[in-house]
Amino acid sequence: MYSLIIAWILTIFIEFIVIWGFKKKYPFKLLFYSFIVNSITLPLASYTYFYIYSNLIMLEVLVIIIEGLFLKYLLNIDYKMAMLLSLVANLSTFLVGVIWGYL
Amino acid sequence: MKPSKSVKILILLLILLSTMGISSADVINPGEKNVPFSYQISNIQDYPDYVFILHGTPNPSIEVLNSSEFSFYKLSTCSIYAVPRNVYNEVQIDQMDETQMSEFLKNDSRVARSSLKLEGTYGNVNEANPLETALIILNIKSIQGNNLDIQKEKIIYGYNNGLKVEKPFQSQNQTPEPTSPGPSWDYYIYFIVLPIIALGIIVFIIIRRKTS
Repeated sequence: MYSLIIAWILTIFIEFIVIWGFKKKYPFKLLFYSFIVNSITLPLASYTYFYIYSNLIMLEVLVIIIEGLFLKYLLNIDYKMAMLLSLVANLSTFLVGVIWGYL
Repeated sequence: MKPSKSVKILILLLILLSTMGISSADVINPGEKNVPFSYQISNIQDYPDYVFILHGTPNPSIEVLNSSEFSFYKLSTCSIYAVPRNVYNEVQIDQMDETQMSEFLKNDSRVARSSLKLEGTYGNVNEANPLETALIILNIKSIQGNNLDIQKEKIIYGYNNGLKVEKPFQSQNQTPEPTSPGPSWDYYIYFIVLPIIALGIIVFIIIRRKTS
């Protein structure tokens, strides 16, 4: 459980940095958005991976789409930008996770 | 506003990517942890005239066992040998090279050997699994000539809340399965309460924006 909490906190901060790099304002608001979005997607994706369907890439794709939708409404941006932002944010956390796993 | 063509293409590309498989033999996949086996001989002190040696492939080449727990590299397969103490002192096994040692342990008529093969790991389990350790208790039944009869007696599974659960071996070839003590309170908070609250907050934000 400890490692899941660490992964959750890391994801919130990494995705916040990516989103902040895009919006370049309201850092606390964006951190809060990253917190609530990842508090939905990460636990549900982890649960699905552990107990229901362990295709990591398929789950990542679903997470990118769902987070993209959340970001579209929370940040008031268009679909294209929201999906791109979600893709970059999730690729960043995925890469950090892979590197972390090999350390 | 409907998703544009490029968003649809992006989603299609992502779905195509998802059909790619990822697999590797010795790697712990994301979301998994390894549970190693450790071993302990319960009655080694009843055989003071013997030195018990652990020898495996690819390692350890030699490890003298005592009543303490021992473990080894997760991909190794090991065997236990009983060498009479006087023979052990005479042959100076620690000065042998790998081939000589292996030859001595496998072929010398004075060495008692067992058919029992020990594995290094229970396997990989998912991160949410509370299982942490798996200790197999071995029991020496007899040493007759060059036949060492050593058997797996029980396995003690250890969980992250400190709980230990013992399971006796019904068959030497089949490791009893662990019984999960059930999820803890933090499990419910992380997997159920947290997503519900977060979703509630997002819905609240979106509704408030639309009404204002």
